Amino acid sequence: MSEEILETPTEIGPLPSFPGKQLAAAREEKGLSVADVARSLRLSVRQIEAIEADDFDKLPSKTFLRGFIRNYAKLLQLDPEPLLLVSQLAVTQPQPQAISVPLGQLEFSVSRSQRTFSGTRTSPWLKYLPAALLVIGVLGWATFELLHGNDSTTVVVKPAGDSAAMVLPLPPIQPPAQSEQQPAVPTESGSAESVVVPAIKDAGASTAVPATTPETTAAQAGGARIKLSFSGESWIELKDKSGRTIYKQIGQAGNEQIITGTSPLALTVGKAANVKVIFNDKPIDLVPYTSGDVARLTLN
Amino acid sequence: MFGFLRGYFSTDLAIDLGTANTLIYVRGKGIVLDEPSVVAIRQEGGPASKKTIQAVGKEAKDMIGRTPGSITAIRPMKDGVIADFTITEQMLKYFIKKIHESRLLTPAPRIIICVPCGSTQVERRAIRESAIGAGARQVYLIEEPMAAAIGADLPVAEATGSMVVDIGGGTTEVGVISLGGVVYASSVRVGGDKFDEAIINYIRRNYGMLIGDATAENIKKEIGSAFPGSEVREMEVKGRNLAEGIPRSFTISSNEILEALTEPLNSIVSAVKSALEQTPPELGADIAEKGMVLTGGGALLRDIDRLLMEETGLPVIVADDPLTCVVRGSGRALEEMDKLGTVFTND
Repeated sequence: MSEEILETPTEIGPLPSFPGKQLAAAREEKGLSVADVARSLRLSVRQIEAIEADDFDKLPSKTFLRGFIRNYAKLLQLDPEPLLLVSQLAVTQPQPQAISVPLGQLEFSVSRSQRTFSGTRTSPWLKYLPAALLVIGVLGWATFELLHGNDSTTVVVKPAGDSAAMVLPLPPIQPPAQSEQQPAVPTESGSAESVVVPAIKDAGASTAVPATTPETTAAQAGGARIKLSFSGESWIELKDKSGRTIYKQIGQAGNEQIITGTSPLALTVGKAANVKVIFNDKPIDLVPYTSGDVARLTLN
Repeated sequence: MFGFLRGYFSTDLAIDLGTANTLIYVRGKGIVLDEPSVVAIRQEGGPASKKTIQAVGKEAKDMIGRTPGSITAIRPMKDGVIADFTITEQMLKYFIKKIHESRLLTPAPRIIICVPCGSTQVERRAIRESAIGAGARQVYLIEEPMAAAIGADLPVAEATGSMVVDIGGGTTEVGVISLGGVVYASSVRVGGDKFDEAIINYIRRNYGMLIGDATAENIKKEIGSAFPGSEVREMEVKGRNLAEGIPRSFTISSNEILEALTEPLNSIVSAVKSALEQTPPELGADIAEKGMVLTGGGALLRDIDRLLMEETGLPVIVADDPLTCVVRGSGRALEEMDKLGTVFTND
């Protein structure tokens, strides 16, 4: 509609002035009166005067104002775009207009039978009830885990296959600092290779490994060690050489995990930006492997 | 079983499933897809053989009218509603997959889709079902005039009447909106497609020449106008002469196209007039003060605002970027979906 760009040498000066003056000047140049313009734009004389006086408060909201200025400029065969740009600066629109009417605050008393029939308005307490129950549940569970933390870190020994991974599950919410409270399990050095343990910041404590894995030998050919640190929620899946899933979990912010298995390891990370991967003490940049949010890579 | 996980990895979408173009808005990203609603189907070896999708979108649109016997280019939407259910579902599936790139799990997004306000329950259900068939987890429907008004940034939630005229490919929707709800809405099945059809018929009648849909659309975009202007523009057009059966070229002027478009334009004008008749007087006064807003691809037809201004005597303005108004409005509803429920239709 606005393609009609005509030569208007007098219009676009170096300093932007408000559109009203430019429009009024162009109108006078064409020998038109305010009434003429009002008639052809189907606006009232009052509205045209308000546009020319840049008195935007007397005019309807932004969309209409832009439309009026565009129509006016088209009538005078001016390029509307610079005028619209200036008017945009002039009109202060503190926030986008609401698109729905806020729900009424006062309850309209309706008999119970009718209310269940319409069923549109539920009490705000009912709406938040599931969320509240969930929060209470999670908190209770976390407290329970903290109090009985020592018992819960059970060691699950899987039958030693070719890669023989062991999983030592920890509640994902538990912050890393808490792991220092774990009792030092009798160690047997050398069996650390194929065990999944929660990462412990303290270097000395990281050798603390359950002694229940005599059959898993350290000298595995393709033994690999991955350390994952989470800065936000992320979904991880790790498959070992034989295609078996050895780790699949949603990690929480602040957690760290060390996983070992037989390489090559196929790693899939959802929300890759939230995860740092260190493979055999070498940090891996996930960016080249990321498509969308998900990173897929094979570590060898 | 993995519903919540699939949802976690899917993004919410707003779709303007139009007769001519399909636009998709992704929550937090904006408009990510704008493609013609065309699907090209390949079928080789008899009518009972298997059908495969050859192309979707822009690529398929280029094939319209240029396909060999084994390929058919289909526009699965007609007059704003689904004409071919299976193809629409396939097209939606393709578009949804396209914007989700490669993912581990098949996407299961929540989707807002616009429907013409004049569509029947059956037609709405068809749109809902085809979105679910394409993998949607939940489907919300929003009426096009409402979406267009939100997209044009009209004060929809205020106690003031706003009138929006959305001229799309298949339908023209007229709506009067106040306090976040539709006061009056009507839909006529006239739009860009009818303009093209009128141009084809006019040229066949007066020039004895046959032109295709794509050429007619080109003529409309180049020299089409809705109101006699000061300058007359001309365009050279190539088509097949009906009498000789040989391709020929001829020149057509904007005044002739204006004459060709008279009939569909009159339907739009009368829809607008009848909407104004049905509007309550207070809202009518608001509209007389502010005017009506044109959106949709039809608003880009030269001087259509001028025509409506002359016919109704009210100010008429064209929205910024009218082609994307509806999808932007649906996108806005998507962004605020969790805060509101009133702008969606229930059926």
